Amino acid sequence: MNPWGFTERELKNEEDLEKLKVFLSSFDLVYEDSVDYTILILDNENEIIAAGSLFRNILKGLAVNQDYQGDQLIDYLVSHLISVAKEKGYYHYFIFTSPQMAESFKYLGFNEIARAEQMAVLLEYGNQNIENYYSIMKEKTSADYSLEGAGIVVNCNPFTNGHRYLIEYASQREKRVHVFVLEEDLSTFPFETRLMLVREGTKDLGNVFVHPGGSYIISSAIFPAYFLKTEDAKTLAQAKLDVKIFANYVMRIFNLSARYVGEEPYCMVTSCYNKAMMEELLPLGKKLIIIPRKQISGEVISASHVRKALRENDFTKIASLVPETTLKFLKSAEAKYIIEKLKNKESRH
Amino acid sequence: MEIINTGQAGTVESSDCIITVSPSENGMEINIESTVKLQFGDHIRDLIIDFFNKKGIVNVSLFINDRGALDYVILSRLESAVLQASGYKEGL
Repeated sequence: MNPWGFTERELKNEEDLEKLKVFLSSFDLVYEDSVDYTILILDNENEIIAAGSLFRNILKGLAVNQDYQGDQLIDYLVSHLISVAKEKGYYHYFIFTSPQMAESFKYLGFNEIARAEQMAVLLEYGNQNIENYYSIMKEKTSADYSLEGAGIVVNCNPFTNGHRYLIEYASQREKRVHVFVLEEDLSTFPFETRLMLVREGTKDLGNVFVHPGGSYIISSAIFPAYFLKTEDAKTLAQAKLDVKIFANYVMRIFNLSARYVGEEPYCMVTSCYNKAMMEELLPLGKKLIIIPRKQISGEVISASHVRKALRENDFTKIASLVPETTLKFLKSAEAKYIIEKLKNKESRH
Repeated sequence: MEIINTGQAGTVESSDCIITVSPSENGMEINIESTVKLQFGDHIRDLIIDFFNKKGIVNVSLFINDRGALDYVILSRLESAVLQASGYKEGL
């Protein structure tokens, strides 16, 4: 119950959804389908005067009608969404919003992480912040940070000879290579497994350091389109936000001057991402090095090919695509349930 | 009393505060954000340290986002967060 006596309820039908979309558009906000929970506050005529949504620990689509903005409805909404997220075990929150709305959240103690001009702003709040997160990670890793290094971001679903080739290529040319493995658990192979396979598969490379990506690198907070597999203007804005965060925090904190990526001929979202990197990294004086993908019998090695071969139980093909360490895992009892899961669904990442 | 997991209480509404406490390995780490930090930051810190001392809490990491809460509001939010973080479930 709110102190104003307004009706307050969850979004419940198509009619609500249509109203909400119209309401949000006047704040430059777009309703996104990746939402777990939406709360609406309505006036006597059943019109929306305030709304807010939640996806895990990400607050989005938060807005209050101009006529009610003095009533601290926004404080109320943020508090409400935080308490809902807290019940699910989250103590660290993001707000994904438009530049128009961003200021009102700073006043509530949220700190801006990055913005893509005219399009999107990401703020965070809670018992963790991006600066600390990567600084602690850096302190825990004993590397010589005085020399500039390079960074690579990978999903590795699972780790292939292609990933190995990219990392090895960078490690031969750079003093130090930091590999960040996407932490978001929306891939077939769970994060812990993906991380372990990258670590195992690069163990022999002395100047390569493998880290969890954290909630700031291609996370669903920043880059929902990557996981929603949508391709539109929003995708580029989100991609830019992600690249800026990587450059302004990760590359700065770890003293990295270059980012290595594999060429992306297949996936539109990833190739859009590479375009965003080009546009954002170069003006910051950072290098972007795009490596043609490793091929085997005229075909590039891709994790999706490994997954396809897994579905078909074609271990001869798999052996040609992945290093010994990954193959060993795929044949283990531990991999059985992942392969079963794989056979039951089709997905790009 | 010992902080064994994360606890959180409060809101970001005016005259309230939101407090998150979690385990720490290096004594007390207190991080204060407040709309009146300049005037009352030290006072809020003393209030929190005093509370932890009374409860015998040594290792704790605390983050408070204060929106101008009065002392007793801060203390009740603190108590609630600490109870959750020390594994106390009943009546919350």
